[in-house]
Amino acid sequence: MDISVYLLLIVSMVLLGLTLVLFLSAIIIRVRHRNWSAKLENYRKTLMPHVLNYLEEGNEKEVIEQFTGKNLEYYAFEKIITEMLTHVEGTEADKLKELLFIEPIFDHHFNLLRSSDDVARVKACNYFSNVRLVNFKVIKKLKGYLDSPNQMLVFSAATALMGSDDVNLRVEALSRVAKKDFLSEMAMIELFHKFHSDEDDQNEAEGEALKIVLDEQDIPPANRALFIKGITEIGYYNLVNYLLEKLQDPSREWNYPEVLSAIIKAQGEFNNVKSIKTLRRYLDHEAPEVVVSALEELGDYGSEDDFIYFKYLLGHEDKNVKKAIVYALLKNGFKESEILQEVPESDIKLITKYVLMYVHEKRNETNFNG
Amino acid sequence: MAEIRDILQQFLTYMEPAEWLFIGYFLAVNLTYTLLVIISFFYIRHQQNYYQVFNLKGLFNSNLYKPVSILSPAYNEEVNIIASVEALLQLHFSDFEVIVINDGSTDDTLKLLIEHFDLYEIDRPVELPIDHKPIKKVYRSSIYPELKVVDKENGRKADALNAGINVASKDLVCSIDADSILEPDVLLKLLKAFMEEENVVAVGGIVRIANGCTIEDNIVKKVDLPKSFLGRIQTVEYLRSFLFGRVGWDYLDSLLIISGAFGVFDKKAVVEVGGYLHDTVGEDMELVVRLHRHFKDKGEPYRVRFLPEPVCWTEVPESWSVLGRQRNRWQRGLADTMMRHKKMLFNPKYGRLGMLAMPFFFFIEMLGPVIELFGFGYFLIVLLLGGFNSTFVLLFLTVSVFLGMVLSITSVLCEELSFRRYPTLGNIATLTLYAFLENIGYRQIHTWWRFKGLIDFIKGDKAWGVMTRTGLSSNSNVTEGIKKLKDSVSNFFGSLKYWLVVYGVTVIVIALILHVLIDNGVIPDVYSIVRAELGI
Repeated sequence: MDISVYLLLIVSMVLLGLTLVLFLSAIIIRVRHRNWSAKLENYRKTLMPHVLNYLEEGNEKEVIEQFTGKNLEYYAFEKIITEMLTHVEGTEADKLKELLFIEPIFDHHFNLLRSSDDVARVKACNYFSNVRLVNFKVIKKLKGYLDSPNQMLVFSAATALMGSDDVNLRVEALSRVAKKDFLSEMAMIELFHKFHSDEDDQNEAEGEALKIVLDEQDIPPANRALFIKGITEIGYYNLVNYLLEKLQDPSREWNYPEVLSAIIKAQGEFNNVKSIKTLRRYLDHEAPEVVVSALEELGDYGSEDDFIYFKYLLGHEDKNVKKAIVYALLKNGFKESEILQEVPESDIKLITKYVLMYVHEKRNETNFNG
Repeated sequence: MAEIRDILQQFLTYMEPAEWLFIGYFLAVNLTYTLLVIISFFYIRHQQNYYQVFNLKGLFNSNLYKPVSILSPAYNEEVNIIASVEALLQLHFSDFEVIVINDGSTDDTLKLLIEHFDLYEIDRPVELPIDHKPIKKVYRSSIYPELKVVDKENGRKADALNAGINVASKDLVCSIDADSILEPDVLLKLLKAFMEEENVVAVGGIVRIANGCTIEDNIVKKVDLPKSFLGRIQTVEYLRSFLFGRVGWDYLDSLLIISGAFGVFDKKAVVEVGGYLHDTVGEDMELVVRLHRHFKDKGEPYRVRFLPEPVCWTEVPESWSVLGRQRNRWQRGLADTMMRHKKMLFNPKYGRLGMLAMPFFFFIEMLGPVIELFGFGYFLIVLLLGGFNSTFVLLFLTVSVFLGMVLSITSVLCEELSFRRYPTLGNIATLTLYAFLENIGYRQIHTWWRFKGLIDFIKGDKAWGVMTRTGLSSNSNVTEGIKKLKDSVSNFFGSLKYWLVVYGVTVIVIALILHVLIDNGVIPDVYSIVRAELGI
């Protein structure tokens, strides 16, 4: 037989074999999954009455007795409880969370947390984010993972630590992840909001604790700015004056444009009248985004002297600054003609466009509000 | 007859050096695909492992995350528009708006929207950073404040999307087709890309085939395979294209295509590059390549991502002629994009994109049909002239079919390991069968469509082509029944030539198999025996 034919025959056989193997694998995977789903459903049927009974009578012993040590049971148990947690609130939710803390489940996840596999560790972190964090060994492990090069593990460990009632623990986690530049802005927002507890009485303590994070020098400016925005959004009022002080701080970490801009906006959001004098200084800042923030906030306070300076600033080279001035002036009752007489011929078209944009936005806002 | 034989023989002699080109092309294509399969297989498993990580809670208490404007261009969509918009408004996401762009419809699309959603007129946007045909009016719904409708002069899809981008007020814009069905949690899943990485400018999700599925209120309730031959073949194609094609390119950070049926873009980035191009039929791919080029030229960090989990369902053509027009358009779009951005080809400045993805799309996806068609022609002539080593030819054919099958079945396996959307074992068997069947007839016809697309591109054809949809709704009445009957009759004659090709290729393959079996004495040569018996 010709060598080329022989070779092709071998390749054909290999490919035919591979095709069959792949097809059979797909079938086997499906059959196994189907069996697994059936077992899961059976286990769910067995477990559910005991869980419901536990919710009524508080006897966790009979739930524990359902464990025989199979992997499926841990998965199914966690799935059932977390699903139920999305439907209940208050005492029942607390009781269900307690149930997640029973010995066999805890031990299983602690073993996963101690394993050398990042995927298992992440699974364990997800589990610990749903239970009370009181075990010292667990906390130590979770803290350790904050330094992992695997961003998924860092995020998961930080998420688990954010579930703690202890503000100091949460702030330590936040402070450590804040220094990482591989977590995205969105991931950081998520963690910041997880840092914030739903308990109102923790607000002040959280605010104080956040000063520790913000005082760290090596936080990337984007993260620092993001936290300040978060502070404004959640409303940590006890940080208003701290932030105002930082606005005057000559240290490098507090003078990045995005950080300054975030602090200026925070002063405006918190209606801190004391900040007006300081904000005026930023009208001449070299970074347009800082000037825009200062213009927006000063525009809200509406002082006559400021408006005269605003008009002068219409000659600013940056378009966003011009737009912010137009908006601030119109908001304070200035007429289009008054603004246009302050601008050079070359800018009239642009300024008219900004005037129209303002009118458009206001009108749509009014329509929307009825 | 002898003259024709001589000409064909001469052609074969001329083409002899090209044999290496065919073999080289065959190896390059299959090696690249195999590499993509391996990468995708592990990458999907990796992504599945970490699927639960970004279980978002806090983000939605904040206004700091990225909200989305969904852009749905509509042209003469009066049949589906209300159900489709209602479904979009039910998506699970905290902050999003739906912008329907009525692209100069001549039917009652706008009227229905105004009545059903109680629309009132609002001001048109003053700032229009991207060009498009004039906007006549902009409306907002008094029932759903998050719904806006833009009424504009007819352009094309790209033009409508540009108008939508100008009206959009959110950070991200999600472009969809009018007939796209988004799963309710699609936006939540897409957000994962932005959680995982900073500087993401575009994300695509998987597009699955809705034909055959049970759809209620524009939501896919039960997944099933299409009933038609073409629908099933396309299911295999889509699985292959999305589950290992795009996943693999995503891993290599060289994704060049985000489907026009469903993609999310950073609005600022899209405005920065000037929005969609009007004068191309491949505006979705062109935009993605332009984004790559723009950010690479500026040296700014960015990412274009593909996630296999956020699902969009779409109706695919089940008639040969419509499918042919669609594939012709795709090929023209590809060629247009490649030619516009040819500077990126083998340009090390663009990294893997210039050195790997662009050459792949240029030589294999764009020029592939030319080589394949010559290959098929060459193969046919060899068969016609006879005197060939039939065992060699059959084995070569077997290897190429099995290679294609291995690639397709791997994507079916990827599907099994990850998402398991097709519910029955029968579905897996059917997909495997169609992975085989697509090689006999369909593949050759598909190559012809792509080749024709390339020729049409060279001729400068930029027409979109009529895309008739049968609709996904199961509602029907007598008039529709008669219309369907007429359509089926016309489809039957329209598709006859394609079926003849399929049967022709099948006959050739069977003849070849018989030839090999006779040559090797596995079955007796009845014809020769009879001739011998008769003393002929």
